[in-house]
Amino acid sequence: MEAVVQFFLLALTAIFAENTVFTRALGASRALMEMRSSRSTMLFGAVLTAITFFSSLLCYPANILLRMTPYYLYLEPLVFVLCIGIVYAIIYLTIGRFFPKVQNRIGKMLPMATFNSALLGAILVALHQNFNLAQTIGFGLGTGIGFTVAALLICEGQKRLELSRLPRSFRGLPATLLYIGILSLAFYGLIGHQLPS
Amino acid sequence: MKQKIRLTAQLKSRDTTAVIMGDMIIALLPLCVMAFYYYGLRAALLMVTAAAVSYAADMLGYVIRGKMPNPKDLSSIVTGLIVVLMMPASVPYFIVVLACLFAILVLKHPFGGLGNNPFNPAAGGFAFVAISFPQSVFTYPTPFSQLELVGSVSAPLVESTAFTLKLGGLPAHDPVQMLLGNYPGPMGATNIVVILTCLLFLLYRKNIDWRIPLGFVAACAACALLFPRIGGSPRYSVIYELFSGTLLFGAVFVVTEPVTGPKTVPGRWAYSILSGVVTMFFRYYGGFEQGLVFAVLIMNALSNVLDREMGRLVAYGRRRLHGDS
Amino acid sequence: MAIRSHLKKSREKMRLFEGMTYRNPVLICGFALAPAIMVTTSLKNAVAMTLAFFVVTVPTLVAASFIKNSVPRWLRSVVNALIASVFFIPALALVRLVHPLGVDLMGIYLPILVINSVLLSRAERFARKNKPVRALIDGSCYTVGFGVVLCVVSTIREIIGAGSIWGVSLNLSQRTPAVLLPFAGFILVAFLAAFAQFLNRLLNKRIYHRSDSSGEVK
Repeated sequence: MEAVVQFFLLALTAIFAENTVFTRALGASRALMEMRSSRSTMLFGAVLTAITFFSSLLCYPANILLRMTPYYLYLEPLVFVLCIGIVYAIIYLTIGRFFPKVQNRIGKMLPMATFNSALLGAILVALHQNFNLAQTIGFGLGTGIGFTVAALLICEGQKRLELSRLPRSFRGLPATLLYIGILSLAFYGLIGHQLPS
Repeated sequence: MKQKIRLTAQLKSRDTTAVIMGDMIIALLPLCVMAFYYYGLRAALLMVTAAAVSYAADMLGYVIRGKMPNPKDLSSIVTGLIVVLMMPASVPYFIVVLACLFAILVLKHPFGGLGNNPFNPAAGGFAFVAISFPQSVFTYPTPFSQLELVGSVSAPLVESTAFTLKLGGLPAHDPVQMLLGNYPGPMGATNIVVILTCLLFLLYRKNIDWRIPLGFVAACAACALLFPRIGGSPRYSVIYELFSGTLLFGAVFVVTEPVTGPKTVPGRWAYSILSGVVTMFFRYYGGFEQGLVFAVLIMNALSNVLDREMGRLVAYGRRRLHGDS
Repeated sequence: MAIRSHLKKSREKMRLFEGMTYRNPVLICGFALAPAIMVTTSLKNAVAMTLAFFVVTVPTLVAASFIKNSVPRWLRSVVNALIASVFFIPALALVRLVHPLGVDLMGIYLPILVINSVLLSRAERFARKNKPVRALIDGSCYTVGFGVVLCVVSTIREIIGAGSIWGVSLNLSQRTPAVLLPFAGFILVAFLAAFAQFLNRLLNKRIYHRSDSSGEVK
């Protein structure tokens, strides 16, 4: 019961109060800024959330093993990338073998969703702060959902910006970054202090 | 400006941006006068600074974008006045300058200037300085205290009623005094009676849609009623929540901004009610005592979504109600 | 005018140095935004991050250039990221040497360098099809572009936010600590990106006489 409560609390925190994109700038990449439809955005977010979920399942025991060695910080990326790579390979091969139609739709998204700073960042934040398994999975899911929410907001923003007559220097990346920055300003009103990284 | 939906032609002059902005300035003037009455010459100087800096920044913005500056564009003055009226009379001058510059040069012109900004510039400017200098922006002098004209203020500064509410305490001010504005608070946001008068004026001139302030205040009142922060009488909870901070001022001047809000009627209802709920949420759980400016910025991002989805919802509802034919 | 004609002739050659000149990874391409926004609160952080970026990215690009096409397409990014993780070990040691507190200050943004978009994108598009020396130059130019942006942003943020440069206090009367928060990073990088696009448009118009330019480079 305690674990379930912790799970939900941390998930909610990760979605709103500590939103990955707006407060940690993770996941702010080209993939985020070039989404044009809500459907593909939600699909991308779902893929990201799923991979985060499975990766955190694998990374948590790996982390425990790693903590026993003296070279934690040095080997940390190697081990986690290995875990994420294994999850990615399994998912890719499974989908390729058994669900070719799904392969068509999410094939392009899969690499972009896997090698996203939001994913690795979520796992690193959770494990650096010594969350237990329930908290890690909750935080990972929350990060994925928070990323999806942020991506939807930004997708809407792109559509709105297309209707404006932006100055030529601001068209494209600068206006989107500014938009994200102002939303980040608004979300900061929810926290009021610096976040641990 | 986008087209206004108007039922009758009540304006005697042409319906131009200049007229609309002129109306807004006229609506803000009584608040400026009351600020001068309570806080003296410093308040007046702060307001003049805000208006001048905003206007200059606006013209500069036009030039940087390579367009001809339009001297008749008074929208920046409206933005500047709204920003400064949400601040205490003891605020240092450079903070006002910073807020206005941020509002005009970061929130307005990079997105294309008048009519193109997705976010409310006044809300953004105030949010920026509120985060940067919370001690200066959220401590207020008592009315009729002597304030220096320039430089820092030596009069004692107190926390606002919003801060008291956030701590879970009961504000010590009499609600009648709060109606008249005779308590420490933001320069333009304390005089409830005057704000309501301005609201009526703007509604008469059809500059703002009546649905937005109504939905917003109703939602805030409902939240204050259902989830009071003050134990005891729910009536007092509603009164104090509504009268504290910049809530009513924001309901009239900030949430109702036509460019950044939704354009359809169902969208506007959803926008105003959601803004109220999110404002109260930020008030209760946020890092600062006021939540309005942050809530408005987030809701600005959702304006188009609300227009679209509420339209779809209403069409769907109509189809279900009238049957398939 | 000699410069102009020379630039026109060597347009193809200039493409090798694109990361340093007209195709800045952060400002034009939008790569590696997370470190550029979150870590740039002090100049020391920026320099340490750039050094780590160099040690992680450039050797991996050279290695990718050696591997060429031996790895199947879907596995390529994984292999590149794994190689980068191996090179992360010396990178972390270097950061420990130069800026020991930085490892804690920069937190998760150091390990995230391992999957940074410059690395994965350039490995796929350039290093795979070119000789190792060219991959080396390409990676170095992108690192320089990255480093310049980080240093500029962090200098501005450190002066305004903390009133110091490289940890040395400047005794400024007014500081705005809010500039060290993430939203200010977004806004500052947005303005710099607009400036970079403006410069690109100017470059295209004046030197190459292209008139369509919006400054965006695909």
